[in-house]
Amino acid sequence: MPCVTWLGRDRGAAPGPLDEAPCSEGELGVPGLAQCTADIISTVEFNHTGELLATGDKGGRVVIFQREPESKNAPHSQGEYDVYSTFQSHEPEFDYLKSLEIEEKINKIKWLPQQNAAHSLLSTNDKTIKLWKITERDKRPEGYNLKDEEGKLKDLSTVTSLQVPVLKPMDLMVEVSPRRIFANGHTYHINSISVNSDCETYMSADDLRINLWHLAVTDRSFNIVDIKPANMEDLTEVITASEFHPHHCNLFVYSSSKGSLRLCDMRAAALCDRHSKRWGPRGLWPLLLLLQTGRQLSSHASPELRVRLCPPMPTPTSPHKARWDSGQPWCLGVLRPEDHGHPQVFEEPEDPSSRSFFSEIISSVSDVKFSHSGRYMLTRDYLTVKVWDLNMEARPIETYQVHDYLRSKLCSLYENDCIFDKFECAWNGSDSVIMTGAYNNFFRMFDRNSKRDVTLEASRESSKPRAVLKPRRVCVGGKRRRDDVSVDSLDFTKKILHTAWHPAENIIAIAATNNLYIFQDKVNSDMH
Amino acid sequence: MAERVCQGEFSVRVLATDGELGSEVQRRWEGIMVGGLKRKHSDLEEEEEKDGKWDWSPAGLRNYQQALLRISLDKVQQRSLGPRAPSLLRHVLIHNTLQQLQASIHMSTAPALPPEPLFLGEEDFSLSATIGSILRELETSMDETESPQNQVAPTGLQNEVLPQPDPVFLEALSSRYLGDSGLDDFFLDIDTSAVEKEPALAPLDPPHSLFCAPGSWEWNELDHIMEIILGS
Repeated sequence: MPCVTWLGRDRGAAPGPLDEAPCSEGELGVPGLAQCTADIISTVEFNHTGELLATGDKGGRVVIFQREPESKNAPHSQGEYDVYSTFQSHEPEFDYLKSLEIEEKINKIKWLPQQNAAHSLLSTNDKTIKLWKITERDKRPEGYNLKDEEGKLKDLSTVTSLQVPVLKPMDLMVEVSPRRIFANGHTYHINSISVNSDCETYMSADDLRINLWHLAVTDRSFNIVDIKPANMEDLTEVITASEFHPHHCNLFVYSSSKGSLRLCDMRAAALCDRHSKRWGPRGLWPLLLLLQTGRQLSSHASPELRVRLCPPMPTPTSPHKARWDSGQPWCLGVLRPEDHGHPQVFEEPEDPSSRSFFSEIISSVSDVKFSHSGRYMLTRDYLTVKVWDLNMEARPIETYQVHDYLRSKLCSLYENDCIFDKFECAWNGSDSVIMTGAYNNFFRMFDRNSKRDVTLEASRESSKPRAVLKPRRVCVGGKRRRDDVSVDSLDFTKKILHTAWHPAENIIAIAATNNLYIFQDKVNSDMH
Repeated sequence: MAERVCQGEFSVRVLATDGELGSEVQRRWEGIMVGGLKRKHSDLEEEEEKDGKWDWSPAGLRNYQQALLRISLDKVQQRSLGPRAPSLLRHVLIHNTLQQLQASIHMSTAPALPPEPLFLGEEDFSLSATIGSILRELETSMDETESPQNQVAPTGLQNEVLPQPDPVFLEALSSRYLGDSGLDDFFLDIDTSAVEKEPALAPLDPPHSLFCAPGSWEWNELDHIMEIILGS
């Protein structure tokens, strides 16, 4: 990473809805106008090739950027990202029964692996997941027999011969259509979605439950994790993020507000209470596949089926989740911890010397990402990023301090709610560098090999054409260099929560409130 | 933990380790209040101007705890503002912090003296009663039912539901809810102590989930299916 010099792009901020809306700042220095908040970017995601970059915002819109092919005439102008398509994904809804608004903010976007000429992505707000198909049209038929060029019907008497319509090129038109709407799957707020490597299923996680969906089926889902206690007064822990393993379609991880990770295996055997049968080493997986595809089951089975595969976290009152009553015809079984396949729990023991009232809050994991290799997991909590080895549950193998100078300010950060900010984290394509955002429009990168780190800033100045990003430093008192930023002058309204790294190249996308910055390394080379 | 408390008032001042930057820090924090919410503790600002020393005496610690308690209680009350469902994560974290505060306040109380009720604002609350009421509120908010909403539903309707479920009403419920929490939220207002939250013990046998149809699934069908699978 010291080998990489980051450049701003010609268009650091995208046009259109992502332009910084002119906001008059109130006395407190906080943007006060409502129209600013709809443009706040809430998620950023590259597709699997890196050709497309999708962003979602608070107003429910999705904007997709496409990388232009590099031009031979201008070798310095490495493929830039231009707006490819914009569409309204989610609208605000009102739940009349609960008298609550459902926000249209896009929480997450995940691309599906491309299987034909069209691109597909999943977008989700708090309650509803949608599958969108993005297609291109660059030809149109001309030379109809019955219609003229304006589309009006011809007078048949003027038609003396027949012609075959031909396809003529036209200006590229990108069409986006909703293909599936996965609604009513979640009582609580969806925080993450993840597409399985089988490319047929995906999971969605809310605060207390995780559901497994088939991409082709919208009227049912399988609940695979449920940590809701019998008595809500006993609730002490919620699910904060989840992700499927990049290669093993049976493995997924979810993180909790207490700083733990649970790696779950869906192939685990299950007991069917009613008949006390063990279903064998293949467990419930073949049954799920049958139900997903199985027209043949419709004559035998109820169309609805509820399956529990993973034990929820033990609650204080029930160390094992209560088994389903056999009178429940719609439950097939519950996995008990003593069955093989209970989740592996990854948790670092707390350091008693640094304990404070805020220890738990700052240990809450805000994001978890598998490495591209599938061997490691990356987690982000309030002050650190940690790398975990899937083979070692006891502690992370690496811990990096993102902004430890905030440790003495936790009380203020608690008071102004900043302590609840959910930062994301990202791997580079070769899993050698990790990146995460911070405050003051700073973002941080850590090179796992050299153990060096850098702080960079996403700002208008840094995004001028070919401007080199200068490393920044936060000083905590004592010696202060010229360009250092003092801890006390950090702007906590400028937070970089969402970042993404191109899957193969050194191109990063940084969302700074309602601005998108795309940075690229100086030498347009592949990962090193 | 480099935090300090001004003696005698509910004020909290967070310093960097060298202590010099304290007053600037506090002013800066107000300027960057996210969302522009005005801070209620204007007395905090005044207090920290006066005091210039560290104080970790038991009284100082107690004041700090009380200040944190007040901040936490404010946060719990804030969540009821606005039309959107509260963030469960935030709520659980604040609740757990309150639990810790309660535990530490009990521990720090001198055993020789009877525990004094802590003054919170104009009213006189004991800490346990306060936390207890918060937990009860938490329960209803986590189940995402606003208490005004429950009161709005006329009791006549509730009585109607119990003996004879209105199919249209239940369909409206099930179309909005998934699984157990939907109807349980509704029944919270009627009698929560006797009724188990799990749908198995609900007095009705409604279609309380889009994803299950009780009664339509035959266990011998399941056996048959398993034989097919295991046989393949």
